[in-house]
Amino acid sequence: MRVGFIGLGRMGKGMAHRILSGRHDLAVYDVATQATVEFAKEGAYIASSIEDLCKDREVVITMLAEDAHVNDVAFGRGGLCASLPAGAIHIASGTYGIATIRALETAHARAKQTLLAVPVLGRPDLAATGQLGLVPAGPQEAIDRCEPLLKLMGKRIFYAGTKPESASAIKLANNAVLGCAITAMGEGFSLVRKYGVEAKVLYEVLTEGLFGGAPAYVGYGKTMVNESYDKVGSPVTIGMKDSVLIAGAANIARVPMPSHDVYIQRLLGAIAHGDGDLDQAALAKEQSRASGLE
Amino acid sequence: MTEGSFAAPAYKVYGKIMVDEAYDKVGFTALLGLKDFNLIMAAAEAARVPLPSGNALRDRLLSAIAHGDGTKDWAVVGREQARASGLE
Repeated sequence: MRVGFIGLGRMGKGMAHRILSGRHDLAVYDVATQATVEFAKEGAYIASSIEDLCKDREVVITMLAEDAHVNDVAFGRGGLCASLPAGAIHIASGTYGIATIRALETAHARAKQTLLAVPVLGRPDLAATGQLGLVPAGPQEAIDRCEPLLKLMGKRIFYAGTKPESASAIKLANNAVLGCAITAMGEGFSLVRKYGVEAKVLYEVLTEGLFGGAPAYVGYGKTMVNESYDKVGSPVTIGMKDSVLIAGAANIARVPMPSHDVYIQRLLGAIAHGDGDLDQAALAKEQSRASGLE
Repeated sequence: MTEGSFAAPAYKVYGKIMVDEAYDKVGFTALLGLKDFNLIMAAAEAARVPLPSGNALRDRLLSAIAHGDGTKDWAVVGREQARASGLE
């Protein structure tokens, strides 16, 4: 297929390489031009602008961190909506808010293009090896056409439905549960510490019991026990960004989420105390602060 | 969730009950859940540890019991959440 890829950051780079490995005709674009150098060596076309990238493309994949970035790329002058041919598909692969997905869907439809929302689950190493989880949603015909590309990027594909916003709902709900799990784990550690028990005992109870086998508990719990919050996977500020999208989605759909509200307040407290750049496990530190332990 | 970050018995078991809405197959009742959370909150109060997530769960258990679901499996907080969201 003739594929375009915009956003060659830590995740996007690996995903774009996977597309190339499937011998597709790939054009890439990134505002940071040095990110495109390795792709030129491998025979990808390096587009000079989004408009240039869109020429003759059947599918364009965007992997951009923020709603504002994907809005700029899609709606800006010479952006995707103005430049993609009719019939083309835009695969939006970041974690975006419901309002953004709805606006993209409408604008692409008006330009006779199709939006697929395909948020991903996984880290950069999984992106590089095609082991991501993918959550596609959008018109079935477009999903069918893109399936060869999805299979190159992801090991496990969870089909969310025919409306793009359904994929956002799944991704945001998964992140909400993760945030609540981190928050609740922090509460557990503070409670046992105030009763004179070492945190690692609770860690063993959790990860050898009801929460055994769950990377969320094994990974974040370990960071909490070791207080190694400066080894950053996903920082508190990214949690905050996602949390605002979750609260927005909950508001639009009228879903009270009290556990998630607790998570937001802990995120805010951590940022207020200067811990915004630490790993999200630092919410346990914020909890211990609230418990008079720090 | 259960093929990703949450591949653990707690999520597989309680998640399945919620998806199937099989709250009548009772492992542990909402009433017992409330009893335990009252103990947890009392221990937390004695040690001066605020537990906001614990409070949120205790409130959902209390509401589930108020709606007559006290003898259902305590995964019934999933239904209580649906009720609070206008889904029931």
